[in-house]
Amino acid sequence: MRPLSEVFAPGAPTLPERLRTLVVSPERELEPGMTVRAAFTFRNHGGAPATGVQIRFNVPDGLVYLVGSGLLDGNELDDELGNSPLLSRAGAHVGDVLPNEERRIEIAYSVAGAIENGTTVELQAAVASFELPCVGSNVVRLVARSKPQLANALTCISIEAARDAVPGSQAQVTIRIHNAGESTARDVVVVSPIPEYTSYVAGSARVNGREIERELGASFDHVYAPVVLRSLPARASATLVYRVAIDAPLPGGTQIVARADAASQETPAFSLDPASLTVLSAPGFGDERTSFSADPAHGVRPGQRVRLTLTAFNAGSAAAQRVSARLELPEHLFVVRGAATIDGRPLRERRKDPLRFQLGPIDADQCVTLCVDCVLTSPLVDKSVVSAAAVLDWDDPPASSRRLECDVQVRSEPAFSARRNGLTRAGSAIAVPGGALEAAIVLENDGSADANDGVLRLHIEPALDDVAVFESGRRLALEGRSADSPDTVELGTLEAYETRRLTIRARVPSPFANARELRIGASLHTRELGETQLPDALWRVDSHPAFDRETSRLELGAQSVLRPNQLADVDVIVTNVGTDSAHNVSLRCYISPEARLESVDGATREKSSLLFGELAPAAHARARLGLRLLRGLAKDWPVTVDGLLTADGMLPVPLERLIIATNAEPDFSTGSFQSEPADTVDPGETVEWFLHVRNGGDGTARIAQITIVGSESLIYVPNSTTVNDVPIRDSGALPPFAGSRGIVLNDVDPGVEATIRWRSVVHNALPAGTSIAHVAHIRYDGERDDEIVSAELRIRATPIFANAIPGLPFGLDGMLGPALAARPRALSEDRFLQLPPATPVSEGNGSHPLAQLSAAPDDDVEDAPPEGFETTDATGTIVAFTPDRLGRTLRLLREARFRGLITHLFAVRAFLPEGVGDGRCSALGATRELLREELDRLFIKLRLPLYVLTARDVETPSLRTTLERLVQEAGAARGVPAEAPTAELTLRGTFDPKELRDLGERFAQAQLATALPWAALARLLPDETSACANYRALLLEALDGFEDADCNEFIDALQHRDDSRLDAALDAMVASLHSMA
Amino acid sequence: MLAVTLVLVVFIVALATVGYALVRPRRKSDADLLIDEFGNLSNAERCEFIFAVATLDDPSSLRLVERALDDPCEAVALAAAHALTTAGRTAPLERFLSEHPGGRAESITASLELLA
Repeated sequence: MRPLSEVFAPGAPTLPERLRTLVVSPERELEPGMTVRAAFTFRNHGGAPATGVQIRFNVPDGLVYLVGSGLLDGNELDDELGNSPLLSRAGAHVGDVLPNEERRIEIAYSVAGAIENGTTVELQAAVASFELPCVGSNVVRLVARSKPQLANALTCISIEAARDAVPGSQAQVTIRIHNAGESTARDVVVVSPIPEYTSYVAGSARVNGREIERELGASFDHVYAPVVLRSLPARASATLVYRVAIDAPLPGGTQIVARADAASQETPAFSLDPASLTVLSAPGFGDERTSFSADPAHGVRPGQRVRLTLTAFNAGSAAAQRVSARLELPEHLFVVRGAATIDGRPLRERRKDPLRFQLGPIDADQCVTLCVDCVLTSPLVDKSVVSAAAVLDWDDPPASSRRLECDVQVRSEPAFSARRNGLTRAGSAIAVPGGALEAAIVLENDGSADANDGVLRLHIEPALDDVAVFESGRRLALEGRSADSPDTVELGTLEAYETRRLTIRARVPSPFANARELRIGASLHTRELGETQLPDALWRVDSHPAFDRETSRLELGAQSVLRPNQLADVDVIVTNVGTDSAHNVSLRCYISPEARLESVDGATREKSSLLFGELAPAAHARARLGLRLLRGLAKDWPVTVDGLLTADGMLPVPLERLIIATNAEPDFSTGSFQSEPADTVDPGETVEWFLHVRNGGDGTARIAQITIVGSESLIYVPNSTTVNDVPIRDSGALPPFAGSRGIVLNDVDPGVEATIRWRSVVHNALPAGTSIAHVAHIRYDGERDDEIVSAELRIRATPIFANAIPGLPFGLDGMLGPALAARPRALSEDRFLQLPPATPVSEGNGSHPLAQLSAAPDDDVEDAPPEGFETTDATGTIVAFTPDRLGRTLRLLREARFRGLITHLFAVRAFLPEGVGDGRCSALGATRELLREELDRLFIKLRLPLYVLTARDVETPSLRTTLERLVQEAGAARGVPAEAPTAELTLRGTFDPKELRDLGERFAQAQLATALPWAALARLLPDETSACANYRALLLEALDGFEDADCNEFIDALQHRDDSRLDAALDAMVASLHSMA
Repeated sequence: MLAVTLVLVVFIVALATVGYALVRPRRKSDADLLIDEFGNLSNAERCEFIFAVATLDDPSSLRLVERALDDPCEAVALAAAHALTTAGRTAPLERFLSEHPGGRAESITASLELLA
């Protein structure tokens, strides 16, 4: 038997029903909340008292003891805590029950509120005592009757957004199913369609937090009426939750209604009260996607375009209607009209309110882009910020707007463009030493910002002087690193778009090297830009050496007169009056042929040129020339010295001609007159006289007449006179020196000696002691008369009585005398006088070795000219042609046919004789060469079109000098020249020497380039043939016609006067030569 | 755009600088200056000049005379040829005549033969 404490244990089998006195009300069914009353009665049917009786009731599930309902025999058994001992494990002690004593135990239970329908509730009571084992009552079985109740107030649906019910946001639909019944609801089904304007958020469906889509096997929104719960106990709730996404966009105020139906196996479907959610929706431009920006925003330079972009993004959930934008631009930002676009499309140009733009409607999540081009004005301060603003207006809610701003950071700097800024040269590019240079500097800040701390640095040639900088007539201070080279000008601030003009002036030093470049440069230094180089201004120095005839000259030294065989000092002074050094300065000297350059001091001599080398500007060089007059000249016949000054890089400068007067005078003052015997002589003795005369002067004596007065004491030995051992015929009965003219010596050159020797016999009747002396007179040049007196010769007479003469077979009343025709004794050296040295004269320089002698005329020809040259004999000329020369001559005459008489000068040149007289004519060759040189040049010049003849083309001083010599020599020539052995054609001519001499004497007065020399030369032309004679005659006629004409008339005639007769005669002569050849 | 323009400007300036450096006039020697001055003379003056400098025996004068052989004026060229012939410097003349054959050379040769 089980003790009482072990009965009614969970899982324990019920007690055997022994006492069937348990009455339960209700008897069959019970419902939740009902009170079940049980009454158990037992009786001691025994006999003995049952002691220690204990009674216990079970408490089945679903029933709850009603406190205070446990009664023993009507007495409450509950303790003070409301616990009933009837339900305790030990049961309630009811004490001893006497036999037949009956006891009644009552207890009440309350049916639990939630008890599953059909639940069986078994009630049993048990009693035990010390004496009796535990006895069970009958078991009363009650069946519970209950049902679930889903449709109640707690079963509902709700929808609510997580935050704001805005389109696009999510909302949560919550369906709460509450089983308000007493039993479990089975297979709870919920029909919950996704609300309109929403969409199901996949995987979001949960039932009591548990995902159900896996169980459903499909998405929640695709299953209609799913069973969300298999059972829902009574009094329990279940929650179905899923999330939906609110459609966007949606107009504001849109109602989202959530509906649901619920049902279970026990509960028919019923609808839950719908829940709704009002959508909060409005357009919005408040987020960052609506922006206003500038591109570029940094480093924008004035004048640069800036694109302002307003991006209006409707970040709201509703479309915005009538959206407009208005730009607020600062004063430094100008809108570019016509450049605005909306979404890339250009806008129609509006003149009114150009900064307001209608953007139109903008749907939610739509964007409109307004682009406006602006230009940043200039000038602007660097790193300044220009702010632009855009105000976006829309009308939902009314008068909504948003102001956006953007900044443009300015990058501004000054600029000095090369086109507007520069250093330009003012005036010519050629700089002259001593001249001024001027350059203009233009500084124009065409940048957009001020240039600060401007400093102008000049780059100036150090050689320039007086450098100054001016601005608006004001001289600016020049500073520099050092005091002696100021090169900096402080300019301060150069404001934007300001133009400053500076002028640089400097002076070129003098002298200065030629062709050197002078450069003035400048650079502008500013704090912002640093160094800005300006172009350089260039000049080229035009500096040349120069010589003029005033400062470069030939000067005669101490002597004013040049004498033959003497040195004359000529100073050459060369001064460079130019501005550059003269290189290779040389002076080519043209000295008359009669003078020779002997020495040069102060310069290097190279032939006839003097080399001075380099001569600095303003420097001068001096050289001293030693000129020696080579031969005697006539009085007042000057020696000319011409100088042609040359140097590199300059035109030759002819110096003023130096004319040196010459004074060549013969001098016969020194001589000796001696006799042999010298001191004493016996009467009847022969005395040989020696008269030594010498031209000790420096000029040629044209005529020297030597006369010696005869002595009465002497008897001349006929034909004993010799001159330099050449016997001279007596003049009648007189010795040749005793005639009226005496012995005439012609052309006695300086240094030439003449020794006149004759013999005489001392008169026998002279008393002893008589002195005999001769006096010789030498008259020359018509003016001077020198006297040479011989030493006295004394007569030594002694008495002689002898009459016997040895050698004679007879006596002779006389005395022995000197023998006649005795051989003259030669002069001994000691008879010569020591005379001053003279210039050696040789045949090579054209002088005659001895004075030409001519016999003095007889006394009966006293009226003859004193010169003694008068003769009627003509002098011959000859010109010989080889075949080659003849051909060239004829071709030259054919080519040299010019207008005017100039052609005939070429004819004179062609037929100039090669020989005059039977002697040598030294001037002829020089004349031919000079004529050839001059006329060849003239021939070339006449080929120039419209060439105008000048005087120097016709005759030059050197040609004049040579011609004079030729005329002199030809005038003195005699005879006929010899035949040329190799000539094929020989042309001869004759002329009257007197006529030529007459012409020669007029040379001195004739100016250059007159017809006179040519008339003289024409007389030397051949006249052997009739053609030649005719041509010469006509040519002489033509040239003599210009006797009184000056050079201008003659030159004009040479070029313009035609003479057909003369031309024809020349043609005839040429033709005849052709035929002769 | 501004950068491209600047690059173009710098390029053009560089080209201009190089061009100027190539064609800028060089400094002339004294002989060249003499020749330049010679070129500015008239035909007659050039003839006279040739005759004057032909007497000088310096290299620059000789070079000038040799250059005058190619003078546009035939008379000047003839003067130079005559001057060279007279001075005995026939080598440059012969070289010139061989390098410049034609009617002008023949004319000069014939004239020189006449004046020989």
